[in-house]
Amino acid sequence: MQPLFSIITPVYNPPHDAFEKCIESVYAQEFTNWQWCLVDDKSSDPYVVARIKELQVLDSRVVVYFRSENGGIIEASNDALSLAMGEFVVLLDNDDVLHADALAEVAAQIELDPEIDYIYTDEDKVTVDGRHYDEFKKPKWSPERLLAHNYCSHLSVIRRELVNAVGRFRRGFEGSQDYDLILRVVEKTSRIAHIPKVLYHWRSVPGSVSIAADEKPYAFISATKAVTEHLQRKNIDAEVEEVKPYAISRVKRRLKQSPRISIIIPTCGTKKSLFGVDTCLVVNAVESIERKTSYKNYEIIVIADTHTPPEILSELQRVSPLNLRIVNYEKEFNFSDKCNLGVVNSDTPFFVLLNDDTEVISEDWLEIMLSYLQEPDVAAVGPMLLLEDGRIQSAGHSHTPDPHNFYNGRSIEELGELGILKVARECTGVTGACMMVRRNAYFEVGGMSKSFPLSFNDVDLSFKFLDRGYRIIWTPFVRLFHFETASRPNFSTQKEVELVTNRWGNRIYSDEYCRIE
Amino acid sequence: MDSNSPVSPETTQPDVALELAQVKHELELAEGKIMQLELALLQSRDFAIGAAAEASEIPIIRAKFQNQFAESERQLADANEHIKSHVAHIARLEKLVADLLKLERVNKDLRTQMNHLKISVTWRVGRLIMLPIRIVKRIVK
Repeated sequence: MQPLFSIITPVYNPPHDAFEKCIESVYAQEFTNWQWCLVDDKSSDPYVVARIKELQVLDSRVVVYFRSENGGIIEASNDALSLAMGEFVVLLDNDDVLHADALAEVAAQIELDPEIDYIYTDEDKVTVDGRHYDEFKKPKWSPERLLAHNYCSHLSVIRRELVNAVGRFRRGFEGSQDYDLILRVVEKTSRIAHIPKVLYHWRSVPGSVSIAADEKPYAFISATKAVTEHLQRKNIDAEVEEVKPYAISRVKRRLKQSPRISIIIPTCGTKKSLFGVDTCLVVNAVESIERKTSYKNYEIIVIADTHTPPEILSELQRVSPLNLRIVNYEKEFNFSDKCNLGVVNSDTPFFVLLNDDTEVISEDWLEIMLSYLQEPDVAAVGPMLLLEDGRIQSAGHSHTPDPHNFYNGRSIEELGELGILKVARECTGVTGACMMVRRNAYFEVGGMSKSFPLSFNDVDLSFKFLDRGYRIIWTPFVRLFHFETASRPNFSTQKEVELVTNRWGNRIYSDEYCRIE
Repeated sequence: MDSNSPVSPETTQPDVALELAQVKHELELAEGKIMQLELALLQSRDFAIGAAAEASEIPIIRAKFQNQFAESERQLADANEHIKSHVAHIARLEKLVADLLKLERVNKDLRTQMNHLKISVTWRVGRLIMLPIRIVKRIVK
């Protein structure tokens, strides 16, 4: 049976052209089982009032309510919800445009999963003269990212029963009332779907949030409040900070405990020139840990090939006399096997896999990565890795169009598409050069696969985590240098390429979290 | 050794130390064994999960190949149609060429006949008779 959609549109003096385009887009819907709940919030423009009356007369699917006084968007939206009869509510602003297939696509998604509660789609912006720009290719359901900004936004279609159950729109969240509603909705359901198609065109008129978030600072204040309350309801002890100047939130979870963390570093004692100085990479990495790390409860386990020069091992003991253990690796080089050996030599609930060609920059790197792992469904966390010259080495993995380190070689100052470089977010994988891992999850998926001695071991591990329903988080708030492939050759064998394709071929070339090429 | 039998401290301490060392050694061996087992466990799980992942990929790969096969067949059918229409077009062209050649032959015959006519006495006499008229025509033009 076809669902009935109730389109919720509060109206207040919209520009005539924009309002007409909005009306046109509703009537252009391929899917016709809709009801349009229009609430006029005491518009002073007689054209708008007359046009709404006309729509009411012409089409019985249009239900209208004229407010006796202007109450603002929240009151008007709630009045529109009171008119709604449909199974699902569709949020549409009075100056925006629905794609002609919008309701049809959503209905198709509901047909696929009739129990679905919340559906969101991609969107773009449209100028007054009809030019489309800023297409937002959204990730699949990404709860960590939702804490940073309302990436779901338009088009949002929510089961009406659920909207009523969570108390509809709330006063006090002006400018971010949708965000607040979505946050409350997703607390009550996990039946959430994303349609990766642009089905909503957000009109950019002066004063609209779509042009720049900082045009409505009150909206960001409301957003911060909405996220703070959401975290409180979920019993997450955290504070919400603004990532200036982007109007993006950063959630800083407080640590409930400070468990011991093992930092596992495979090495063979390679030397390389870093910042113009001949340097032993592993000594540099350990020295940076000892010098920078503010978290005190850690141990360092160095997995050293047997041919590692003894003077380097002595130097390591000197640099880290209290926290360091050396485990000999006596087999042919296999990065995965070395990591696994490190893991079985530790017994901590969380550990960090760290390349020897890294250097810690952020003092609170362990605290921050651990804070995400307090969520039980997070298996791994990765940081922002930088090249020696300060450009980005890896902002997590991306598989669009094929596997690569996201934003490799780009400037650290970049915001990224819709703030992607400034928000902590779910991703398809993080590089094995530095990842904090939940021990149980690592054992559950069989750790690093020995079948990948050189490359793709981190890609494979990440897919194994995702396959088991875990989340992987990438955070921009932790930074390390990664002097990429300084300690080993940068190539993968044909066998590894074949194996990773055989295992994950269906997903490896289409990244649902990172759809930006 | 009977743990209940009374023993003097002088004889016990080295024994205990030895026993402790033995236990420690055994513990280390056991720990080593546990690590080996944990590594084996990791490898087994990876193998199982990897195999399951590969198995779940097979239907997708098969479907992909089937789609590719269907697409290739469609392209082949299109190409065959295209070839057919090309062959028909070539046949039409060949017929046109043959017609053209035939016309060319007729044309050649007519030209020969005309040349023969032009060198005949009758034609020459006729031209001579018509000469004044041609001159007048040129002057008028």
